[in-house]
Amino acid sequence: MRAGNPLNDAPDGILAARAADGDTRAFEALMNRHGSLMRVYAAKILGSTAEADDVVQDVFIQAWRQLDRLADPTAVRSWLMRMVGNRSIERIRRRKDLVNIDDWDAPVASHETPERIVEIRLQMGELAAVVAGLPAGQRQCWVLRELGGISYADIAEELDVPISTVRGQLARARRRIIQEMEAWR
Amino acid sequence: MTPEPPGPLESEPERLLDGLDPEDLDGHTIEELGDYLDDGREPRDPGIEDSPGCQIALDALVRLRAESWAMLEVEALADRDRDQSWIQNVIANISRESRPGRDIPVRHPDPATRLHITEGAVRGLVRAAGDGTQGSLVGRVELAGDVTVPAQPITVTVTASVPFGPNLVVLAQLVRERIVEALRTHTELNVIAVNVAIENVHAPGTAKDGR
Amino acid sequence: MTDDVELSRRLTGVVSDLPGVTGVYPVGTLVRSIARGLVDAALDEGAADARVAVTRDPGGVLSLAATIGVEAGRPVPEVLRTVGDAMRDAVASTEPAAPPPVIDVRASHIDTRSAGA
Repeated sequence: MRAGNPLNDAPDGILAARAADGDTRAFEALMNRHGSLMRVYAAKILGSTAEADDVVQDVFIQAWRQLDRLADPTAVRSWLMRMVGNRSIERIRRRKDLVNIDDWDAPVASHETPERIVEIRLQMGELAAVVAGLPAGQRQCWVLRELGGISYADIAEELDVPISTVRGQLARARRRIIQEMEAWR
Repeated sequence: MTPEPPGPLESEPERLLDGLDPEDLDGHTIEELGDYLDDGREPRDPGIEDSPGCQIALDALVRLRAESWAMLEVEALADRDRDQSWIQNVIANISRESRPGRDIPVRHPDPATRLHITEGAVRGLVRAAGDGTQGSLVGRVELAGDVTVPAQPITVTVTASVPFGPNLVVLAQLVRERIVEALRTHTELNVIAVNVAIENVHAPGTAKDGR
Repeated sequence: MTDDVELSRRLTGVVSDLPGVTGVYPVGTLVRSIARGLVDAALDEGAADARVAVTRDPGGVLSLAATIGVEAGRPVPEVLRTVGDAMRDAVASTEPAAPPPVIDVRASHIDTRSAGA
């Protein structure tokens, strides 16, 4: 966190209002405050931190241009998270144009020994490890719905699949996570 | 339904695994329960609320949701240790001159010399004037009236966040006076009113950087 | 015209050196790519030193436009007037016979830190 920026403790509404008026220091304080959450959220959807970094930078550049159109400055965090979800879905859709759609359902290959798996679970946290182990489609739908709060219809439209597919992926993800979490306990 | 009384979940993982199918959920599916949860359990559905199988599954979903957010926040904390140079990358890519707003004229005796201050610059001036007044922070700055025509009456409206403690009316007046002074010094605007709307009270002196 | 690029360079130098001027911003599309401050702008070869816009109409009348940052140590209108006059003087000394130019100066950023506002 950049020391000496007196705006670091200002409430979101003030920062967003100032940034909307052109105050770059206020915008920087917003990036400091929300950037990490946005990055880990994007990484969960996309399955990679490198792409997540790109998405978050793009979102902030877009946000800078559109901040003056945000009706409620205090809602800036959910607005930013919403943009991260949308951009991440766009990326996934562009990927799918190039990649075989069957991979969406394929289980994640595990090359790890049982000991290594335990180690990963302890490091990442059990839930994070389970989520990371989901097939791509289940993981994406679950993260977008559970953490992003995005509607089935929007997810389906963005990923260009039927709503029933999204529901199915989500139900499977939830079932799998609950089962694995309980088993881990 | 099984004849045995339900025991602690940890000792009966098999039971829970079976507990996610519609026959254990009194005909409901995990998807329906998820949607019900999303709707805040409104309107209340007795079929779900009165079903032990559904309640067990709902409890699991609620725990899972809380844990999901906690997971994300823990990971976000860890992310802070990663390279933060991306922030300066973004700063370098956005233009400081965006949203300059309207051109506010400044007089010069020679008609062929046209001088202006941008509205964006004036907003920055107003923020700087109000900031720091007993710990206050200015939020939005609006200039109402036609600032592009000399001598037009202009009303300035600002929002502010102030620290808990000082008398709000006195503080607002102080902020107002500083803004009036700054505009009188650096612009030729005919400011007829400055409205200070206090929108937020924050804890004073929590700024670690000695503001 | 290379002469006009040269003129732009000269004017940029003159304006940058005036008291109260924190820098001269490039106009138009260049603005987007240079945001961090004039020190970094100097590293951008072609654009760096010719930031005052110089155009001539078919009749040969010069139009000059400068977008500047100012310090709040002196009243901003005073700084603007100083800049406008300095640009006029600079052109008059190189092209004394030419019709008087149209000069446009815009302050787009006011730095209040040094003034202890």
